[in-house]
Amino acid sequence: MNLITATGLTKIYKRGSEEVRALDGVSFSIEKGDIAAVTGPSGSGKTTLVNIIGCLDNPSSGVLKIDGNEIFKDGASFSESELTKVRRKFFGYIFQKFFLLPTLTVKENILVPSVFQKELTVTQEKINEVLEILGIARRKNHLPYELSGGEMQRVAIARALINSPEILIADEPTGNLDSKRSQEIQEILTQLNKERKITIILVTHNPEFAKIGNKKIEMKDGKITVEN
Amino acid sequence: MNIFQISYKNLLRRKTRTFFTVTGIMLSAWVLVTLLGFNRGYENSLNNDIDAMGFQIILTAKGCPYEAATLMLKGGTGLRYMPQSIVADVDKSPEVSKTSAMLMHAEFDPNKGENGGTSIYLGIDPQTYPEMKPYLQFQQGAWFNENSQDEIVLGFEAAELEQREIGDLMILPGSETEFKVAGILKRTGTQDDGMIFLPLKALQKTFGKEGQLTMLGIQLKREADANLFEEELYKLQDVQVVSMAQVKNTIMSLVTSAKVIVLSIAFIAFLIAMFGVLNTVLMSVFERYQEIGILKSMGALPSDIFKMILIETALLCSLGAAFGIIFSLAFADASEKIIRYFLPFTPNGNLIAIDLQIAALSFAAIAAIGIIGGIYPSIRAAQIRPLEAIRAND
Repeated sequence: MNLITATGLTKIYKRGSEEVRALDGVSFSIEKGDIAAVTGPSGSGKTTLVNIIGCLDNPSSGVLKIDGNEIFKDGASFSESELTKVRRKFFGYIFQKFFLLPTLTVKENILVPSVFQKELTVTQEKINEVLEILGIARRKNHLPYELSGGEMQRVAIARALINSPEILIADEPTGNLDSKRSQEIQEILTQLNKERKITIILVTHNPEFAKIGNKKIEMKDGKITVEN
Repeated sequence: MNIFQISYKNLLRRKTRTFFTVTGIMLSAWVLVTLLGFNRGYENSLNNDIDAMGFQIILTAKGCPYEAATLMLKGGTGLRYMPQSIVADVDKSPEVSKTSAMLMHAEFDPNKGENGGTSIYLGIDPQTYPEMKPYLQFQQGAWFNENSQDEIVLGFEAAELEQREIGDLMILPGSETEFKVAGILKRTGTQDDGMIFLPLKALQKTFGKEGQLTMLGIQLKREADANLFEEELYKLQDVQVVSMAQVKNTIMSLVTSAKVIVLSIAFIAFLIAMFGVLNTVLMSVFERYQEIGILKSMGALPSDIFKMILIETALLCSLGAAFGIIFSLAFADASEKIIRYFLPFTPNGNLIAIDLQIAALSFAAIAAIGIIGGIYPSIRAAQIRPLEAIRAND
């Protein structure tokens, strides 16, 4: 069953008088429970693609459906508030930088989404479960500066999971980590996909990391060159 | 976890900057509360001083009304005199309830203090003066009797300065006559505390001022028309009529001019504090540009971000205002001493009267102005788009 369906997604940026086609009529589908690895050289449009899938940006044209809901259609632009509501419903995000709030403890950082999403009730059990899965339970009262890079990314993953998202967008999640920590994060993502059936859209430069994906989307010059 | 905790902890991120911003707001609050307290305290004290005079109108020899006002409130020098016969003319008026004739005399006393000082004597009529000033109470003794010519009553501070007790004999500076202390007054907090009271006739005789008065205190009947009576008094020759209301208005108008200037300065201090808040919060928003974008990707609406930044501003302003109020209360005495040092005339009593109403009003004003200063940074923060924040990361 298709969870995400994109048809003719196009994104045009204006750079002075010049038009840049960051996405050029991209069409694809991702099924529920997939790990979709989006790869390609710098400037190929992979980050633009996941930003649009993750409702962080509007496409210039094309259609995007998530779980049967038509999110974008024919370049209709959504306000920031409308995009936020969609993000709340479907997505969790992990970035290359961890973006933890430096004055909040691990546990408080994980709870930040619940501060803004009133409909989200986070029980102590849920917090403990997420902390256990990510292996950071003993660090829950520590501040970010007391953690290693790998631990900080685990906290960022825990924060992305706290609202039980259907789709996890991971944009170069191991870009700031050494190979050992990268391996750990890969294992965590694979485990989350396997055990919790979370659909993961992974953007990476690393061909080894991309191998965890059961679906591969390779991009070049704003177009999909390989999809399997 | 709630939005207040996030805002509060954000302020702890740059402790030094937060400290200086709060200090700026605190100083503005301190100035404002002290000024409002002074506004109220000065007026109350002046009213009390004037009410304590016991008269509604004073008649003095013709001269400058400001000099007359000073004479009444502080016992000024360079006195002018009017004939005692004027008392009978005033007493004839049906508007008058009571009158009390007084002669004030100032004499330099070389033994007073380190470098000498002026002793002020007030010759009073023992029959009428105590009736007009019923609040004067004795620590020891009582008023001299009607026919007494060699007794004096000392104000509280005068007795302390002279170190006299009941029954002590003392020769007044500038005279050869010996007087016995008949009574010592309790502290009143008015100019009466420093006064040496003598029977009117005795003072006139001792200093060669027979048949002369410096002032006549007039108490009107309740139903009397004060304005009409004042006009009537001006028909008398060579007298100056000073009503208490007039004195109050004159002094208050002088003080109001000074207050307007000081309040303008306070307003500027306020504006500076507001722009300080704006600058601090805006800088903090720019520093957290990416972080705010990420919060939005985690489900924060623009209104949530607006609220979060405004709460930070409100916390800064509330802290500053609270400390400012505490400091203004703690240093009210010191501020009063400074004001007394610089102002040419200050009434007795508390010059700075800070109450709950003033504290609440100041807190609300500072919080409101500070929050206004925080609106622009809050809007800027609310407008940050998560995508731009993520791109800034690249």
